[in-house]
Amino acid sequence: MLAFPQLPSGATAQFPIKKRCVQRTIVNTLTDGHTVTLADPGAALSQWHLTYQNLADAELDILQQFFATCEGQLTAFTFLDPLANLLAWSEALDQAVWEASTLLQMTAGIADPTGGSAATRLTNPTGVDLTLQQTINAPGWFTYCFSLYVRSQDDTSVSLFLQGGTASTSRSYASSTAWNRIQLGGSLNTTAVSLSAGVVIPAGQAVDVFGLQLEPQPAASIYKRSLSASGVYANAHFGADAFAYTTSGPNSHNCVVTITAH
Amino acid sequence: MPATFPTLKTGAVTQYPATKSKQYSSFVLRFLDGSDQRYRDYSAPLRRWTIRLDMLDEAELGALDQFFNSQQGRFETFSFLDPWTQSTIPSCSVQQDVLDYELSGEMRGSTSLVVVENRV
Repeated sequence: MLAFPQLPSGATAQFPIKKRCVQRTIVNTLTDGHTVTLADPGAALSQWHLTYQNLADAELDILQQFFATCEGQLTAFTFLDPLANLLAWSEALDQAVWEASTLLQMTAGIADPTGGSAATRLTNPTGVDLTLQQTINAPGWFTYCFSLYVRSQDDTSVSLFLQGGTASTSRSYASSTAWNRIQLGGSLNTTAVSLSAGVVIPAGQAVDVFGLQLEPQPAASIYKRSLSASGVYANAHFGADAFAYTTSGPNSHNCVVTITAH
Repeated sequence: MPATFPTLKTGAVTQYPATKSKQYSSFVLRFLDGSDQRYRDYSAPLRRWTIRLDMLDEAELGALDQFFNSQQGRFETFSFLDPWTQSTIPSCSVQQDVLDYELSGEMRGSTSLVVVENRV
């Protein structure tokens, strides 16, 4: 899988990050001010302008090699949006993208920590642990952070896990009656081209969850709600055929990369 | 039910400086003697709001990104709460097909867009 690389720090980008959303609409404006519009959804695209500063030699080399592998604009690659949640339908856990154990019960419309009612109660009525997970088509060897808000009526524990191929990592967290944000970050030693992120509900327990988020970075940022689209772009290209950089000192380079995805 | 323009976490629609305008459309026919006749093209003026937003967090930017893409740029219509009058305008659209935004640091996002009232 060809994927836009992370820096050795685990970050995909540095601040400032610029993003452009482009749509195309044909608009016919009549004399009286009425408009007749025609959408052209096939022309929609997203564009990122990534500015890198003070890159070390090794970091610049990673970007240069990847650019050469793609031959500029020629070859498509997978890009993980550093501004987005990589999980789709983060507040609709009954959607098909979520894989839930058969007997796991879900109750939507639970009060959430932001004052809304977008949390979901996960109830495990069985005698064994049950899971809820989502799988994305992204490099399993990248650094990710999976986070969510959790609470329970009784003191219990929930586990988060990341799994890519046969490699996995997990961690157990105590849950109480107050909302608490928990996160699992790390990278897996795998060559798998997909990654699953999920939560394990212990036998006989019920927990409320909200704000499930997966990000291509070591630690969690502020929660971003997602709908049908996630931050995984499988058909991204470089926006230019030239890769230019400026060396401002020993082991210190600056460059700007533009990425476009439909 | 039409979509609704997203509000910030504070509940506000826009920030200072905010711009609002009214657009009329007049047809002016000029004669050789210097006089003219004028006709009204619009039955009523159309309102327009320039929304400039600064110091946004990623969630607020993400909500605007989702809203813009769900609207497909200029194509769809939505209801908009006029920040000056607190009245709801039932049919508005985004004026542009391109939304640019920048995150220069944590909680330091900025963007701007123009909302126009549709003739109904």
